[in-house]
Amino acid sequence: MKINERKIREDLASFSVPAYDPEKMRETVQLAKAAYRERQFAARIGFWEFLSMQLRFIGKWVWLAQVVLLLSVLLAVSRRSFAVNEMQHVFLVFSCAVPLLAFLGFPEILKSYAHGMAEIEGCTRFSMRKLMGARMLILGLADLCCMTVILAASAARSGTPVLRMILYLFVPFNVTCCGCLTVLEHVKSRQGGYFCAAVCVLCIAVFSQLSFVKGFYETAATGMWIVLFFCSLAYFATELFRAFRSFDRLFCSKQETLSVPW
Amino acid sequence: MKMTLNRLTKRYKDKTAVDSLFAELTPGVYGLLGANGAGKTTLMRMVCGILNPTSGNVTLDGRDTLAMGEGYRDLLGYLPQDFGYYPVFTAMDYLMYVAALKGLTKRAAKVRANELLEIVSLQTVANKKIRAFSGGMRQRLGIAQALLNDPKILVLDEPTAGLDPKERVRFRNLISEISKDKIVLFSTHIVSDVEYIAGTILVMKDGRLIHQGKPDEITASINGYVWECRADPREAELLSAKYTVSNIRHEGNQDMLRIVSEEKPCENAVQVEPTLEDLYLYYFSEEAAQQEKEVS
Repeated sequence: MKINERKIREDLASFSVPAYDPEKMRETVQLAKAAYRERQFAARIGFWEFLSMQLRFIGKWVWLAQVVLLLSVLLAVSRRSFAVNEMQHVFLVFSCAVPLLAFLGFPEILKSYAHGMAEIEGCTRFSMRKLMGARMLILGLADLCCMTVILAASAARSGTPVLRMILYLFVPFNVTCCGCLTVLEHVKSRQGGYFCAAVCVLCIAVFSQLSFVKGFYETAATGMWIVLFFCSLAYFATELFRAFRSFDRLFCSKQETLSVPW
Repeated sequence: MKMTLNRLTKRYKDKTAVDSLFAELTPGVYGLLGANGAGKTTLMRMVCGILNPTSGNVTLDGRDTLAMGEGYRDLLGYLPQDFGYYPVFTAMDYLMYVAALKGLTKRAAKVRANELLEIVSLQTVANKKIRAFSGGMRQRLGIAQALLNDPKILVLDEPTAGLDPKERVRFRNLISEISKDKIVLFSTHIVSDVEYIAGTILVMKDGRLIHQGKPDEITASINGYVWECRADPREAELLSAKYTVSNIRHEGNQDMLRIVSEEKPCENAVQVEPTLEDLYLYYFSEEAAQQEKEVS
């Protein structure tokens, strides 16, 4: 065994590289590099990787605004404990903050149309629908997290049942989203952001006025809130579907709808 | 690879932008020549799949490109005539963003973005915000984004708009280099760009393809319609008012006119070899005059 090993080592050490053409060697290296490069560039990312990359391109002002809004709401509801019949202050805060939270993401969603990027984005591998879907998913999840924090804080402070608080939070949120989605479906330009802002202001005005209405937030009115919640949810789902269908419609009239498979 | 534009038509309420256009494109460079409103941009948008035709379709090797969906868009690179950008993006951010939309991995995107920034001479301003760029720099960045995924089909709408002559020459050389095994379709008003780069010229007027062929083939269609003659300034003025003049050269106290006309414009006129510019004027002189009126 040892003699064989020694012999193998000697043979290996005395091995001489056969003569080769340096030009051919260079060519081989070039071809190998080209093949590696082609393989590197041929690889394509999946939707989830695309989603995580889109996170990086969401404007930092959106996150900052959400944090500032969330902290403001938490500060407002945590200043003191509320008895169940002293909730008017909390409902006023919800009326102002929740539509604003819903609105914050929409200029970011609309930016493709506002900045004239839609034509380039519409021709890429990930269609406009997937791009918009990615943005809405990211911003929607962020909104959901904020709402959960607000819900937990205000339910804990006030002692109001969590299910009722969900209604008081999500009805203005859904209504604002529905209005902004309707704008998104019909207005594909810079003006879309202004219209969404108008919807937000309108919702703030309506819900803050309602917060002064005696009995609107009482237990007896819960049935009405439940109806409002499910109606707004159904309308939200319908508008979301319609908005998605419209994303590939880049140029004005309804005739321009694309039928590209998802 | 063969792309077929099958009787593409785009009709609006009061106008037919593209009218039953048929063409077969194989790898090579195609220059789309036409005046404003000829339907070039509408055609390109239909080729890219961002505008639905009223009738007809675009097929690639027999397959409908709309049905191919992301498989087709993966092969496509498009530079629109007017394109935007997100103001907060730097040149590198912009290319990385578009690369992500085109499905490139982060590593490949970074390598490719750096390569392209060097090719379009923007590597020194890679980390500068696009809003600080000049028009020519933005156009070069637009060309770079179209090339990110090494597309097999490259559609460029007025790619040389805003580029100075040096940049235009660089662009022509770039297109010539990359056009091997690709279908490159570009539209322009600048006749010299088409002349130098395009292997095949498609002439479009009022939504229709009126000519298709190699540059010398299509200029041959107006053989006998291009004249040169000498005239004194007063006569030159009269001839300019009556005929389409592609060039006036002052030689001492006489003017040498180059006229595009089916009839002999004056006694001493001699026929000369037509150029692509003469062809453009022959077909689009009314549109050119209209544009001049609007500008003045």
